Formats: sequence, structure tokens, C-alpha cells
Amino acid sequence: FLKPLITMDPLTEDTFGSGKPPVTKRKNEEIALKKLSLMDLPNEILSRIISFLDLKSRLKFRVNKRIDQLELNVKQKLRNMSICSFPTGNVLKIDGHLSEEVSTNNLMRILKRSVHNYSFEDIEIY
Amino acid sequence: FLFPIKMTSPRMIKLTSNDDKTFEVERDVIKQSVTVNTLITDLNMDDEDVSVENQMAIPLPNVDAATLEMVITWCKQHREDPPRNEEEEEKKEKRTDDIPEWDKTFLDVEQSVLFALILAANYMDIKGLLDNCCKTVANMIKGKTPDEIRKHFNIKNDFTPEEEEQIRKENAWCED
Repeated sequence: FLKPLITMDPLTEDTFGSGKPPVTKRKNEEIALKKLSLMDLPNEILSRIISFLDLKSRLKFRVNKRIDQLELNVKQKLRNMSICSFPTGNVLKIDGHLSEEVSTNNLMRILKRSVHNYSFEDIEIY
Repeated sequence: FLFPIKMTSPRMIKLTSNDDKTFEVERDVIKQSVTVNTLITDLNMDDEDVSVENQMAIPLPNVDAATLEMVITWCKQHREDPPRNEEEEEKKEKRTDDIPEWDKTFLDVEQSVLFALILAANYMDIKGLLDNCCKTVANMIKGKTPDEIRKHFNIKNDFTPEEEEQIRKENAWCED
């Protein structure tokens, strides 16, 4: 029989047989020395993370210039968008999320950005 | 009647981390890494009748030992998973509420560990692990305001006041 090279060390809590993943305290500390941060991840990974966000979250995730640019290039399919225009302003509804009144300037800004990366199955304009 | 039973131990593969630690892992477990799997195939390692002691170790220069050990643990847990069809995965609705409970606990580590695991999963091309890590990060982002996200991930705001104002206006419609 081959001697296993991976051995459990005292800092690793043995949860074998419990159905739970092992707790790797020492390992976490070792890696933590390098202190990787979210911004150390390559663009392809950040884009992948953005692809898992819903519309509201991905818009709020635009926290710096790099993420703002990446967000523009991650395609997302949305079900519907309704724009209801009133004399005082516009109301925007995307996939059930209803906005407060949006000025025409802001509406144009939102639409201009949306054409880059969002596709809608259905668009209604009143 | 007694029949001779041939006992065959699982085929083992050696992997070496960038800090020179060597791990032995079952061939069947590490097949989830496309990078390692391709190397094994290209180097005809499956055909060789070489004992594990004399086998060449596959170097993984972008992965440290602590992270590699976590990757192997994840691969062992998911060895019975059906093979992924990437085309089908791309068509699927992107969800983050489908991370298995075992993975949720396994990935409940500090941020730098999670990011090291993401880089390793990306380098070793283990899509299942990569997706579950990215979903975990996405879940950390959801429900937070931009300032809370910056604070949580220690991200510097490099927008000019004008750019920030424009983003604030674009986001105004989706404020809760």
C-alpha cells in the first residue's frame, strides 16, 4: 500500500465521515499572508462574477472605473422593460423592478448604456 | 470454487505545488481539472505502467500547497458529479442560490483564501469549483450599496465626483 502524502495535521479539524468539509485553519492563515483582494482577480473572473449578479446588484457593483468598464461588456438577457412617459417625467420598469420618476435625460442615459449589454425579450413604451 | 481476484489499486497522479509540496491524488478525482487531464493525456501518462514512486509529478506553478490541498478536497467531494456540458451551462439561467450546502461551508473562508481558490480553479480549469466560488462572491455583493461593497472588499473609489454623480443618477431608478 502506498503511503499517503497528504496527512491530517493537528490544526486541521478532522470531520471525516461527518459529511462536512474539513476545516483548514492553518491553510487559511498561510494563504492569507499574501492577502489577495478582489481587485487582484483577472478581468475574465470579475466578468464571470458580474454574470451571476441580478440587474440591480450589477449596477451597484460599479464601484470603480475598472468594474464599470467590465460591466459594460457582460451580456445579460432580461425579460421585459416598460417605459411610461408622463408630462412630469418617466417611470421605468425592468423585470418587475419599478423606478421612481426618472427625468428624460436620465432615461436616455440608462437606455444608452443598456444597449451595450442588455437584451430584452419585450419592450413596451406608453 | 475459488477464483483468483485481481486487486487493483486506483491509479494515482502526483501534483507539485509552487512551494514544492507533492500530493498524490487518484486519477479519477483529478480528471475534473481540464488542465491536469489534458497534460496527463498529452504526456501519455495513462498508458505508462509506472509505479507512483517513479512517476513524474505534474508541476502546478501557479498554485501553492495550501490552495492545492483545498482544490483536491473539493475534487474528492465532487468526484461523482456528472460531467459538465459547458454549452448547456451557458444557456442556463444564472443563479447563485444553487450552491450545494457542502460547498457553502467549504467556501466559508476569509476573502484572500477564496480568491486564491478562484485563481487556482481558473488555472486548473475546474469549472464547477470556479462557478461555485464566483457565486459565493456574487452573494457577498448582492444586497449591498456601492459604499458597502467598497468597504467589504477594500476597493478604492477612483471615480471623479462628476463620474460618481453620473453613476448615482443611472442607479437612482434601482434604489430600494
